[in-house]
Amino acid sequence: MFKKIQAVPIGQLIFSLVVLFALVTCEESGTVGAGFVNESGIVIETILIDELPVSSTDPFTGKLTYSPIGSFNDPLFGNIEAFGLFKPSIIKANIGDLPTDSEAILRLNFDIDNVYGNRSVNGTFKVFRVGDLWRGSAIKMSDEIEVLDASGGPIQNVVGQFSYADIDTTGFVEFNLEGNWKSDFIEFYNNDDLNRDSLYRFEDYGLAIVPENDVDKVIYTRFSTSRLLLINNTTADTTSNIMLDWAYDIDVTGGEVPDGNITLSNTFNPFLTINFTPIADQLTNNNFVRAELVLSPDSTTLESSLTGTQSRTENPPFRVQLGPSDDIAYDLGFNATNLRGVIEEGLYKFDITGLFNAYLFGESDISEIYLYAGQNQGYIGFNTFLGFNADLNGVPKVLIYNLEESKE
Amino acid sequence: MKRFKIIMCVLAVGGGISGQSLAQTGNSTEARGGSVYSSIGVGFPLDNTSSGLLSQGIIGLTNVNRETSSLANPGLWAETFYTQAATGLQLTRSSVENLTSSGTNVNLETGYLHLLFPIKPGKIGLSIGLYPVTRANYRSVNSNQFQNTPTNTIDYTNEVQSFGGINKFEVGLGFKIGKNFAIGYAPSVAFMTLKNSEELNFNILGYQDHSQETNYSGATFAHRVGFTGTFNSLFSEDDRFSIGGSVNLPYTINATKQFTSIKVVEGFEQEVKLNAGQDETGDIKMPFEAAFGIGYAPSILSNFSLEAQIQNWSGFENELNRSAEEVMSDRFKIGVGGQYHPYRRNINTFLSGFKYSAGLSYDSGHLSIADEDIQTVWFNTGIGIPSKVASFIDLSIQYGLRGTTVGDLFEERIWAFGFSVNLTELMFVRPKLR
Repeated sequence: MFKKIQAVPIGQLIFSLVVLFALVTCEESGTVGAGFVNESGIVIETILIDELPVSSTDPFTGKLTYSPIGSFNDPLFGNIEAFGLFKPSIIKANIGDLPTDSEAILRLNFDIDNVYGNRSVNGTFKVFRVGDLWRGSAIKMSDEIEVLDASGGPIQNVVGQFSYADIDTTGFVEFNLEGNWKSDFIEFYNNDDLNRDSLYRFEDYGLAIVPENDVDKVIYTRFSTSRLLLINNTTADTTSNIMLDWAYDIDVTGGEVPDGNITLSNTFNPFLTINFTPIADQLTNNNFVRAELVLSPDSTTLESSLTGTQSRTENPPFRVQLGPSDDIAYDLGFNATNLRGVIEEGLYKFDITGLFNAYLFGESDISEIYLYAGQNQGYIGFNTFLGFNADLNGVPKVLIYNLEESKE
Repeated sequence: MKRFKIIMCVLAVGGGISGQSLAQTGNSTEARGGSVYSSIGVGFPLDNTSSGLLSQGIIGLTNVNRETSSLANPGLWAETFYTQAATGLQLTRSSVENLTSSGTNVNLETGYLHLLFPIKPGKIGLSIGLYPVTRANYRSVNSNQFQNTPTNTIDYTNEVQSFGGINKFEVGLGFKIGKNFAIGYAPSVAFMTLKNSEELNFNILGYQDHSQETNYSGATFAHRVGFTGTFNSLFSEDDRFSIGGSVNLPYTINATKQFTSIKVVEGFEQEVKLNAGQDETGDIKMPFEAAFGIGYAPSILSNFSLEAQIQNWSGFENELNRSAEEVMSDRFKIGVGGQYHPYRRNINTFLSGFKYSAGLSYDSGHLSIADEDIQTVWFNTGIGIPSKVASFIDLSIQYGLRGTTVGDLFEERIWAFGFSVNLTELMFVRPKLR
């Protein structure tokens, strides 16, 4: 019935077809249909935190970049008393032994940009010998270090002293160290025994810089850039010795933080231990794009509690560290912070999405996390945020940015 | 002749691969969007047929024209004398608008793969087919925002995609009964792979991009039957009259719904299950379908067809997505068209070397949203390019009007370009049998 089919030229048609397809498929795809197709929306769920157990630890206070020295009565956070400890090295230079009449000049370096207290008064700082052995790599805030006079009794004899007004614009002050400490030091320095370093480390307890009552501020020493200048008056040679060790000791007492506020100090007294599990258990939806811990710093109280000539070292930022920890003092002080908060519209916000993901989908133990004021290389600081009695905006809480499932 | 074979093979294979990848991978940088309505339910129901039939507005239920194989009616398979392989792809370009927005969607995807073997030429035919039953191919990038504080809003985009649908792998037989009639039966495995995904992109520090997928999968057995009746020299010496029909029995897929997301867990990206970590399972009941057509060819030079389909989509059930059931309605489609075959005259001119097709069809649609049926009217035309053997390249051009802007729905003006190849005896019949 059907006849033989005849071939036709098709090359041009095929080519045209391919070109047509290529041209049309190069068009950008459309974006029409929003509002019609099923699409998830973001709904914010609030989980109120009703428990923030307070803990404290014994922080390391040695070998930090800054060592606080001074005293100041902060009407909000209490009376701060701090003194510095240091021990110059006895590294022997090529100037030979020192005669006993050599000069010992302490060249101290301070961070003049940060002062906690009253900048308008000067005040005197005095240097005394120390009566207890200490090591900068191990000393903690609770260690009791006795400050001695030259005869071993209460503070009376001064090894050296300086005034806050003596600190120059580059942050340095120089003053002579005298008394039996100098003669003892020169003796260690001149000792040629092989065990001179050991003897010095264990038999000389170093010096303390103690504020007088008129100081009314805490200033920050940089011992790593401070030097002991030794001048041989016979040869006129000078050698500059670095600091072998340093630390500080601090006491904070009193303070009147508003009731209900939660105050954290960067000495980790206190810090907060949060059991994350009961918070995570309140999740109603495991499909979220973000979870954030929200704290409301009490900026009104922070800003109104000091007079015009007084200032604080910058309020330390809040930090979150994952637990549990075997050495909480070390972890909070030296380990990398897991989460840093950011301030947004006056609220401290931590992105804790990863914590919830780990809790829901991972195997990590996140039953314990720590909220603390971030250590700051020796700067002393406090921060306070609104507690459980605050309104919904201020109360500690977790916000979950849930994806509301599309209508399927 | 040699050039024809090579071009057809390259286009068929290359087109198939590229179309498949574009349509089904759902890659956000390559995939193009199809109809906005395909995002509903299990996708848009498809007519799996060659461009030669599409250009007549029909699906190919009758045997009025023996040139092409057809997946539409198992009864047709009995009458094949040649081994045939057919596939096709279609490019659609739709202008979409509603009361508030407008845009363009472009989609390229393959249709079907159909192999037909003459177990007993003219008496028994074996068909193997792989083809989509429904297809979702929607993609859009929507700009959204939410308020994270009383005075601050966060902007983000959400790339919404819906790809996949229900497919069938089918093996069937057609049997000739007597001189004029044939029947066919085609069991198949119907399997579902449908992915709905969202990808939220925040252009702000502190907000990680988020992606989530809902994957539906499942399989079941399905069945369909068909018949044809063909009568030659009914009204004149050279004419042919043919009828045909097919019935798709309803089937139920017990599907699994997996809701997953890529999250950073303990420092590493991993896929996690949402919905409390539990997959959902539920039945998806696909509708009963029936189709009937008649065709008449006054001579070998022309043929005309009228075909109608019904699909009982109001009986569609989806336990995993009940909201889709509410907008389903019974689908009715009717098409009429014809073909002209000047190449059969053995006139050696350029224009007489093709076959020409044209037709019109109306589709009531399977969706009724806000009391508005999503109807489609198609205007169809096309040409066929024959070879010296019975193989064909068919090209179709369709223009369709779908939907409405009433009720803030979407109206789509669609240009569809179809391309299909039907390889007959090219590779499957040894010369000594010709």
